[in-house]
Amino acid sequence: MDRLIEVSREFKEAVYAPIRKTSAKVNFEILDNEAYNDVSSSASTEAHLSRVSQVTDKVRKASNQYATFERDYFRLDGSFRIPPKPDEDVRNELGWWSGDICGEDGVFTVPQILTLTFSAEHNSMGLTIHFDALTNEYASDFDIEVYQANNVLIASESVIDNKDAIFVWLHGLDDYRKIVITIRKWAHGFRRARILEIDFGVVNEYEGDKLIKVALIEQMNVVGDTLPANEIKFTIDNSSKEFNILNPQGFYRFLKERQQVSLNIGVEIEEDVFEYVSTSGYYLTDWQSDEGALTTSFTARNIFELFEKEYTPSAVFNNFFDLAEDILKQAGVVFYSIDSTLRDIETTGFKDKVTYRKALQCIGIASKSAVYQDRSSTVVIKPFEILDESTSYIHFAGYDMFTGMVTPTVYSGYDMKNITFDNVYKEPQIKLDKLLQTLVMTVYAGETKQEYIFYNPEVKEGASLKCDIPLINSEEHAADIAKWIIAESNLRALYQVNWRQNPALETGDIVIIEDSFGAEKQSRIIKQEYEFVGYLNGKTETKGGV
Amino acid sequence: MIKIDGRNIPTPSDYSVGIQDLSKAERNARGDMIIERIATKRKIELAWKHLSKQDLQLVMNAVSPVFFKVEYLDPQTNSTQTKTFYSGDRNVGALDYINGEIRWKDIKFNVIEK
Repeated sequence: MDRLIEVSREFKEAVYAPIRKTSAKVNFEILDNEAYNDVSSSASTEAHLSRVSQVTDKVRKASNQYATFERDYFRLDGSFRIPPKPDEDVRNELGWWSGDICGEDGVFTVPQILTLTFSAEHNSMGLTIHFDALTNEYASDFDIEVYQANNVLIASESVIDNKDAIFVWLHGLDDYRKIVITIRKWAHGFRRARILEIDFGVVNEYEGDKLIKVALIEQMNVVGDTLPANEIKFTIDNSSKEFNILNPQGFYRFLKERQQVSLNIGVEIEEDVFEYVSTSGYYLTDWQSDEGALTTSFTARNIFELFEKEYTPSAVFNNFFDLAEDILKQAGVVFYSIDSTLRDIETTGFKDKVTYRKALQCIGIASKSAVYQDRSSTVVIKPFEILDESTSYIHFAGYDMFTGMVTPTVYSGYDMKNITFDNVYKEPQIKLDKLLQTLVMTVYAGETKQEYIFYNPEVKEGASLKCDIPLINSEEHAADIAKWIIAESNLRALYQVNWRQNPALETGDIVIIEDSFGAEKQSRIIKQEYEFVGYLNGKTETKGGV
Repeated sequence: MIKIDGRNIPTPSDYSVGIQDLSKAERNARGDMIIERIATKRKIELAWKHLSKQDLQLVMNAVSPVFFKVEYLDPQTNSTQTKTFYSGDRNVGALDYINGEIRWKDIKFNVIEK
């Protein structure tokens, strides 16, 4: 499977066009994430297909349009699906569906009530109610009531004649323990009330005039002593003073670590139409709003930043796949992809305590794998050998022709991986990394540790490196890893190029960077820097053979 | 012809719409120009030969906020457009001053899209 991010032909033409226009959007979830883990939901009535616990799972759209016995909801045109049974396929998103159906005028004879209760106090800058955007179904008249402990009402809102499937209520809510939503009237007749999601806060989108600048740094260490965390930094216009610390009506007090951030970088493919490449799975770590300043800056890093806690194995694992899965599950990673070949590598696991981050980095080296979080926020562990098959220029170009077809289709995607002088501001800089001559590998066999020395046959003089990974338990495994590390160290040409950037390229991709000598060497992207300040530019660092 | 923040202002005697491309242009390693288009903005030059005191006051007040909405005729779209603008320096000349009454002439300023 090819790993290059899927974009349209128009995008491929526009991204390297001599004149181009780019755009960026930052989505920032100013939510109380602790409230999601502490909530229990109940409803006054529920349809058989309803899944009320899904109203706080952060999935904001229904998986499908579902055929029901509501009027006009059993259309046989292929647009509706039979809803799953309650215990069937839990990934199907339905949310809460009321048991009662409203009248022709949309009014429920008995108002339908959804109640969310919490065991501790929570604070948020408001609430966002996602009705059913997929079918454009929503409540027109409803009440929101927010209570502190002992049922003390602290805020309420009566909404009349709402006309949107997503309702945002901006209202600072402090120390709440219960939220009650009472639906009195639906926008259309003969419908069940339905709510897909309730967010404890708001999801703000910053673009255009509101977004002053944004920078994204992505890194991938092939053989390194760290597992780098990617980073998004963005600055927004705060002339409204909503993020000022001293503003009592502001949002500053609702900013918390681990609030999610995602970034979309787009290229204009026709006038005022942008095609975006998304990157998600970033968590707020720092924010700063200087009093008097008209801007506020935020920093968010990917999930690896949260992996500093100590890992305790839940069982004894004898292969890398099971061990990696245990680490990721315990670290709270929901979306991950571990290559099945890791099942074939034996290990006795960690003897001493390590952090999740260190544990994953050890797995990466000891299985010759890339460990990274992809653009869709999935943590991926995949051997470089397999990764390279799908990302190398030659292999990628190999998909170009579809033989046997009446009209051959030329897939021009490989052009995207060719960083030519057309798109760089200065000739790329190339420097050589230090040579590795000896590699000392530590083998953990039972309770003993033994060191083995391996030599780089291509080098007579050079540096020495020590590799001490508890997951390497045999001399044979050590020799295999040593051979790979030495081979990687021989790829010591470090390319650095300042250029226009292409959001469809990511770390791990293998590209060709043009040079004055026509060498056209392949190299692997190890760092991507994007900066958007009204226009896109950036830096790419790659590593390859001399 | 022109509305500012939803209010009609007197029709100007001079009306000129400039279309400005904001770009970052730089030469690539081959020496060719590559252009990053940031935005396309409008600049409207307005002038009145003469305005009554009341009309002048109305125009001056309309453009005094930092930003304001202008409804204008756009030559590219050939339709009425509404965009947010700010005002440049305003110049007003005196025609005469008779019996304590001043009359104004040659009022001109630009409004530039935000």
